[in-house]
Amino acid sequence: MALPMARPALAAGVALAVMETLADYGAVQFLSVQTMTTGVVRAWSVYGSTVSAARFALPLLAAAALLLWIERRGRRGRTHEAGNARWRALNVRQLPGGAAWLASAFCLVLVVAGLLMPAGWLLLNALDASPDWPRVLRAGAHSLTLGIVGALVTVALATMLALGTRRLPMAARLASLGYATPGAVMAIGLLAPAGIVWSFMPGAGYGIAIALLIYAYAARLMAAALEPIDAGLTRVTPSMIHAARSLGRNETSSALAVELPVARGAMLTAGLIVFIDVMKELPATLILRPFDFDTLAVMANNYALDERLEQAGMPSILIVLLSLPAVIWLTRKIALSRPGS
Amino acid sequence: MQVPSLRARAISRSYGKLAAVADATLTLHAGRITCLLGPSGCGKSTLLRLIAGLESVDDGTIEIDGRVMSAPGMTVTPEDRGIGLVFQDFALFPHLSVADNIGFGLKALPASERRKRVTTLVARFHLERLADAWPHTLSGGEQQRVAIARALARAPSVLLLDEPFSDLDGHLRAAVRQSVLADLRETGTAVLIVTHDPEEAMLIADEMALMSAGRIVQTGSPQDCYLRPVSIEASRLLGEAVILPVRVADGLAHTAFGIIPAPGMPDGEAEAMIRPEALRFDEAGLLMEVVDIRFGGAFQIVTLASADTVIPARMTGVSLPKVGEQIRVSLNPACTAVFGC
Repeated sequence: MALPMARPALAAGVALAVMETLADYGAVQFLSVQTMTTGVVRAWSVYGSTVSAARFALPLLAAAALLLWIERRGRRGRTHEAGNARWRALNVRQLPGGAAWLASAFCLVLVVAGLLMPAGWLLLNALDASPDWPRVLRAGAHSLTLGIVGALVTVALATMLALGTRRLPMAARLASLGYATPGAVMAIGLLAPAGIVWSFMPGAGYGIAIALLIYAYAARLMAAALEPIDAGLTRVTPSMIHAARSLGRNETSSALAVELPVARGAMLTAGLIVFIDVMKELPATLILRPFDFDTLAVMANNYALDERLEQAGMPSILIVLLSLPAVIWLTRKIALSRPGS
Repeated sequence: MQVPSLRARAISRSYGKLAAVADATLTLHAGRITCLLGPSGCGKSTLLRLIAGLESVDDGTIEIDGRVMSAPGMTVTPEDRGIGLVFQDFALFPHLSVADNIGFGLKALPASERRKRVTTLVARFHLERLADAWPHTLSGGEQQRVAIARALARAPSVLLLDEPFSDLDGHLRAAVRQSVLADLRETGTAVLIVTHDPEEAMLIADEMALMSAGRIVQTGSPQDCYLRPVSIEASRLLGEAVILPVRVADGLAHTAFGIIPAPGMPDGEAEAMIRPEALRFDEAGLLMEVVDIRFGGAFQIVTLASADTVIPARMTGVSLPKVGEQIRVSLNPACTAVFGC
């Protein structure tokens, strides 16, 4: 009963996981698995060929579009969930002895294998190493700046898009395509227009590269930001807007006085999601970053590729530490929005 | 004579081929409550939106306080029309307290004046205890008071209420309605209430406007509309009506139940509209058999049958006939009307 009902959601979940895997660069690169994404990055960074990079990128883009379609289709199946959308309180059930141990063990395995083991190992490595502190701190500042600016820009664009797409629903779907697009593909796609801008404004390379990087983050993470903001804005009914209009506010002023404050929490959520994603983004950053501009993720990746794992520890731990408050805040919020808690 | 607060002259609005509002004329006066009554989908809400300036008219004009607000190709925006809007869902702003909701439309006033005005409205609508409360903590009736107080804050010439009582609980509805209407009358604003409930409309209205298929078919006092409908269509909008074929001769319609006046009607075939309460016990009346009795609380619906007629009668009293019994009934001509075929 539960499984068939969840099937569309399961399909959507699998599609999302495959999308993330397709887009992943760091892990496959480190483990020397040849994938399309590593192909894209290598074609560009080793051979300097945008043409062959684009050749790798195209099938990836097609796969991403297919996955996105599957994920959207899965979502359409959620109508029966929306049909009785009232939250029901979940019953808290006390499991008997053996089952309780098994359940706890399962949860523990997830935490140990997913967080404690890798983080502990990193920490051990980091303790052995003597990090190049000025470089690590500079990279940290870069990561933090990119994360914050990326989050602000993406949330601002997503909010405008969410407000605007109440009239043009197709636009939101188009803008969401970026989420399925691997960062490497996005970056390669941006190189051609970047070349044109560069040729007009020589010497502005650094600024343009940073702007392109932010652009790539915003395009890639638009869907992730758009979804919570869209959901937040659904709390504003058309009648609220009409009421605001009749109370002397024009369209813009109604949006500022009613829609944005109501969606404030959702905008914060969206910002944190983008921030966390930017902090650990690798392929787009590798391709688009200005010369000698390191982020924590880039640094960790470079050390790892040079087999200097103990040096890779500190930047990696810093990524986790800087993202942790945001992650905790988000998970708390998600837990609070669930019934039965 | 005093300028009407609102005058809508022959306004029309179509969506493609569907004429949502066709040639509707409506006048509202200060201090009077007008009910716009009609079945779902008859164009009431569209008419309300046209008056509010949320839609533009294809034809006709809308004047508020003698100023043209809508004409073909011209629509003064909702914020500049001097109207107040109250919705079925009340549309309170969830991020503002009760007092801030009420003061939302008073942005242009200096803070001290705004506070004074809010305090006056809070007192008028008995919301003192709730001024700092959040909208989601209020009951339906309380939310409605806030919505009305908010809509009245800018002292609009016309207050439009869309099905304001339909979301209230049954047992509270009558009491809430009565006190809200008393407060509304005190303000001296011209009020238009949209409803699909004929009994409610007749109970609250000073004037009625009956709407069917986009047209306003009759306006007048509740008594006039109920007892002297201009057409069979109009009579059906206000409650159950039995239509019997009759013959008119010399200004009198001859029915099986007796003669009813049909002043000004030409001789020949016609139709008589009979309200269920028009039938009364009468020793000299037509002999009919009771075939069914339905208990409706304050009244009972007694279905009567003769050789060629089956007719429901709404009767009150404790000693009512039983199924199978024969009774004699005649018509109260005040509850009937005759129309040409």
